[in-house]
Amino acid sequence: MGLFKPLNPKADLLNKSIKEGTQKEVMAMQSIVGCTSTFDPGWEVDAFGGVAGLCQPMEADLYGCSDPCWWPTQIPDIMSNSKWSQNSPSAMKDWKQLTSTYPIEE
Amino acid sequence: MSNNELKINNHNFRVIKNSDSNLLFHVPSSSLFELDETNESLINRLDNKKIESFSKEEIVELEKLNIVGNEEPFKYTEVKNFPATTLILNIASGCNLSCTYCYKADLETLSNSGNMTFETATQAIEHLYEGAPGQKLYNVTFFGGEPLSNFELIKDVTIYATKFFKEKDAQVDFTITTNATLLTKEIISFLKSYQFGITISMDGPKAIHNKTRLTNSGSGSYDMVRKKVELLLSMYDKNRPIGARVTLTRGITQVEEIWDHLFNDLNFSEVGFAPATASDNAIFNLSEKELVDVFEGFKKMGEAYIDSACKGEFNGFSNLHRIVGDIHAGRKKKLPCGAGVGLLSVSYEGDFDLCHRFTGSDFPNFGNVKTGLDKPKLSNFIEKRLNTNDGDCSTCHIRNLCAGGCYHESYIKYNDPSKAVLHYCDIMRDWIDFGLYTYSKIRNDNPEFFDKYFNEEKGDTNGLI
Repeated sequence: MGLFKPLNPKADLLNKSIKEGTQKEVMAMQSIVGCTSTFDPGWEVDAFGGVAGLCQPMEADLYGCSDPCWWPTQIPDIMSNSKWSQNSPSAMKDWKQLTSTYPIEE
Repeated sequence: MSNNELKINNHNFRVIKNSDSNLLFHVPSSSLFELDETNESLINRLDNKKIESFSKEEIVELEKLNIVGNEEPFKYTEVKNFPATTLILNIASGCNLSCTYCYKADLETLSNSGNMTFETATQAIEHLYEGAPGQKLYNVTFFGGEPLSNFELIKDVTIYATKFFKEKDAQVDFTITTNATLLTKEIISFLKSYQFGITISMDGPKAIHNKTRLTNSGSGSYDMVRKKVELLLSMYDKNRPIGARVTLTRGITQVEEIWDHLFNDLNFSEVGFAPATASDNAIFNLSEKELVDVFEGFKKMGEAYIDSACKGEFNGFSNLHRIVGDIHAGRKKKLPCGAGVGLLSVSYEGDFDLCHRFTGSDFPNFGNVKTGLDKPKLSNFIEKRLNTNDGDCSTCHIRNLCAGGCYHESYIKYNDPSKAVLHYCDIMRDWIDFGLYTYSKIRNDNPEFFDKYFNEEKGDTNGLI
């Protein structure tokens, strides 16, 4: 029995180890990996609730407006211009390749 | 310091005062003790630092606990192994909702439907296994965008991974986070047959949910989500709990009301809250006052959690449940999370990132599925964070439970993920103190609760590093 009454199993283990002189081993125990106790601000907004520090750059929004359309930005008509962005697979890197679109000639 | 003066290490213990009992949290080991009157006087005597106030036995034990006396010199920790057993596959870029606080989760164009290829996914799985062979359990998480918009790939990868790990005599566990809107009977049956862990993004009762979680036409998605959730819960296996994940943004602090609806009306097994942390000019952030309100709500919910726990039940409040689990296991973390060590995230292009939040950011990646994981680069990153000894956290009593917070938040705030997150330390310390109080209440009133709800969790890598 140590000085203090243990509440969690680790405290119990620590008390026993003090008697045996192995407390250093108990204190050295640690898990490197676990979930942080700090709050996850959410996957949908940046750490400050805004959009300035998103995991993804804002340019990505441009493609979000095609097919699964979710952001109210104007993009070329994908019914008649489905390949409007084929030369720029990454908006962040290749946005300069995005130029004007023209009606496709039959 | 004179010879008859004790060196007191205040950063190694914390006294938490409550109405019914006072507690002592021993920081170097994450041990929790209850203080009786004799102990109280002993702790009070530490203030005057006089050796002669203590018996020899007391001094010996206090020294062993590192509460008084000289401490072990700091040792540099090396990280050479990366035994990651969790893989996050960012498989789809598209989403069929237009939540006001959302960002686009991928950079693919339509020509490839914004989706990861089967080949990239299988290469990633092979890399995961090569990096940590011979483990008993692996986890594959499907993420997006809205992952169900790429259901065909989920199906193919699930079947592939099941066979792959079976051949290695290992188990594989699948998880998915979805907005529920694309669920069908067929999809639910599939997820059920592979025992998927499912988390649904849902923000509360209709009026609250529809403020932010909109369909593409701009109307609220609540009715559709609710219908699908009811279908899912009616079909799903009772022993595979389904949780709800709530994002709290500006103007929304009704924690209890949201919990009540999701837990009692819709029957989710767990409800987890993610408050958007504040900055001065963001549109969606909780203001400072709102953040305080949220934590007041959390404490109210916490009291309800204690009441349920004392009856042997879990009321689904996962934010507190997780902390109580950490305290029960006596966890000590040198790193805030498993990013880069216990889990790897793979972008649609096959790049390895620390986690899904870095996928697509400017932060450099750590190799890709074709060339393999860049271990030296990852070593450098993790070791930098691990060996920051003189940092802001070294005197904080929750340093071994918080470990400095999320890399991505630091990256955004300070442009350096190796720094600690410092903008809500006070709130976190107060919240962990509440967790310690919660633990002591349940421990004294219903100790069976812990055996029932906390089995050994995966993700601890004792001895591996």
